[in-house]
Amino acid sequence: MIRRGAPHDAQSFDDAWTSGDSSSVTGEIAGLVGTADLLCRSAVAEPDEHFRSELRDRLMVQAAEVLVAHPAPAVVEPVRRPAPAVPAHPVRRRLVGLTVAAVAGLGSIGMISSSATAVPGDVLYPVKRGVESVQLALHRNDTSRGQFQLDQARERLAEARWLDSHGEDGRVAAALDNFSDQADDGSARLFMVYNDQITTSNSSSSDAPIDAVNDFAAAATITLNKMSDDLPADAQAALEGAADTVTGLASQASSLCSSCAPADVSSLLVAVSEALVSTPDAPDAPTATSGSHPERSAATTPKPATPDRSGPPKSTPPRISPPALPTPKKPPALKKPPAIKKPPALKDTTDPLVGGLVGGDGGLVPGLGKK
Amino acid sequence: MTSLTSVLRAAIALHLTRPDEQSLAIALAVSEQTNAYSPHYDSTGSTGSTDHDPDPDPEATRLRALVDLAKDGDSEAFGQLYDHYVTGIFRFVFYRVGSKHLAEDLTSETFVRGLRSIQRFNWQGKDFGAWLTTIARNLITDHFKSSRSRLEFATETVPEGRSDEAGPEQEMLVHVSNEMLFEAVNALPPEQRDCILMRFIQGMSIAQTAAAIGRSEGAIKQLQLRAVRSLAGALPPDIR
Repeated sequence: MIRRGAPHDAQSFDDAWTSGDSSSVTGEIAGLVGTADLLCRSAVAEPDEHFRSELRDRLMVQAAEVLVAHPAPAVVEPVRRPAPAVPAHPVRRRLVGLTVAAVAGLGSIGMISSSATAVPGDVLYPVKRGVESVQLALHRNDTSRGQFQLDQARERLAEARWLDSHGEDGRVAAALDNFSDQADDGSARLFMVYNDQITTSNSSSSDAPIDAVNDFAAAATITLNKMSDDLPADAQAALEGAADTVTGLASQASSLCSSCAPADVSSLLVAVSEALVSTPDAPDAPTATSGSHPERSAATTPKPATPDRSGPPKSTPPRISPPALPTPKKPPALKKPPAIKKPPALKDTTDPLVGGLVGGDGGLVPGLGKK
Repeated sequence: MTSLTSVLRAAIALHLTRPDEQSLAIALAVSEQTNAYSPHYDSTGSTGSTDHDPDPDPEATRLRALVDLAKDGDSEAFGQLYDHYVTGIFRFVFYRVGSKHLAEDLTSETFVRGLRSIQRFNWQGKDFGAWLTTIARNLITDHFKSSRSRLEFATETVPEGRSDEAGPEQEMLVHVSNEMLFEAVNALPPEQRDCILMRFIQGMSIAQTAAAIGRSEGAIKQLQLRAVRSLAGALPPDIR
């Protein structure tokens, strides 16, 4: 006798059971159908009517509270619905929220870090300036704020030099104007700090604010000298404004603190004057070429028209002489006796420093020093 | 054409039981989407004879409409679902735990959980009766895990059966079968035991049993054959 396979038996049994016709099967399958039928006839347990009706009543009461209509998918669950009744996947919601927050946070961090090397005209440049504004607001005293603003001015100057070296001539003037604004603001804040020190406490006064301005002026002089060689014509006025700013704050620093090492900005004026002479497009430039007294010449030179400047027009003369800040001048006799010092050799010391700061692979503007 | 007629008949039947316009509108909307429900499942009758119904579609469609109404906030629709499934769920639980009071407690908890979760229920892959049975199955497992109680059939708590038309001799036979049935069923391996309970005691279809246990329909057919063979071997020869 050939025994049929298990799948065939299973199908035969199910067909016989489902159809209710056990006559189609014989032997063991027929017996098994009978056993299944016995099971059905024997399993007659039913819940009590009392239990059934009581449970139904209880469920109806709960259903009135638990079941809520969903007319639209976007409907918010009513407040009266008890929270533990139908959990709304709070863990999943929190997970989604945390994921969104993490992605947004990582994206923001990445964007901010990417904006560190942005230059005017880049999409992320406003982010960079915004971050700088936040950083400025985080400084707690005027000394650190003034120092930070001078650092920002250095950054603007580095940007201007990068733009100049990469042929972005149209944006150099705006970068130089920003440099002038931030140099003005930072130095004014440091001068104010220095004057406050003089008037309030002689014992704790320090020349650090003036030294910071002098160092900044010396470094800016070097950079501006280098830029004056091949500056585009429409940035000449901005260069002159920047030179006026640097010479003005250097002059004010030396008048406030005669004992401090003054910054050597004379070379800047010569270079700027030469640049203006050599630029045929620069209007009225030859008036600044007298050379024997460069500072005075720069102060008396009428500022050329600046049609391309994006910022508000500046008043050039107050930057040079006399100092525009309404801070009281410190009488020289109250401070240390004026000592004749050798003219500072800051140029020698700041050349590599500025070069390393603004250029090179690790500098603020990578690739700047490769020009 | 036959399918459309049966669907409309179910919609009208539902309307007669719940004579309000919203119920009828929803029922008719359900009837329009009946193809999307893929109503190939047999109905889940509590009498154990559902597989013999020649045309199970009207009942299945009515149950699906009731589930949709309940999901939409209709508590009376859930009440009708309860009326339809309570005997099957109770029977499944009772022949697993052997105690009427425990079976009532677990049946109550099954429907309470079903009520609280019905608005998350979807038709993908599982019939509503199979879904309720899965809840009951998990509750039984949790009960035995937590209490470590021993399976023991309590003869004094045998529920009353459908013995109205049975004579005293047949009633005696059924009573004996209840006790033997409990012991024989619970001596089976877990999957065979649940298959026997769902198919022949609760009255679920092959598809519903497959959905509740999580196996294919072919596997359930073989499982039920093995289970009935084992059960037949465990019952006294004069009874089977």
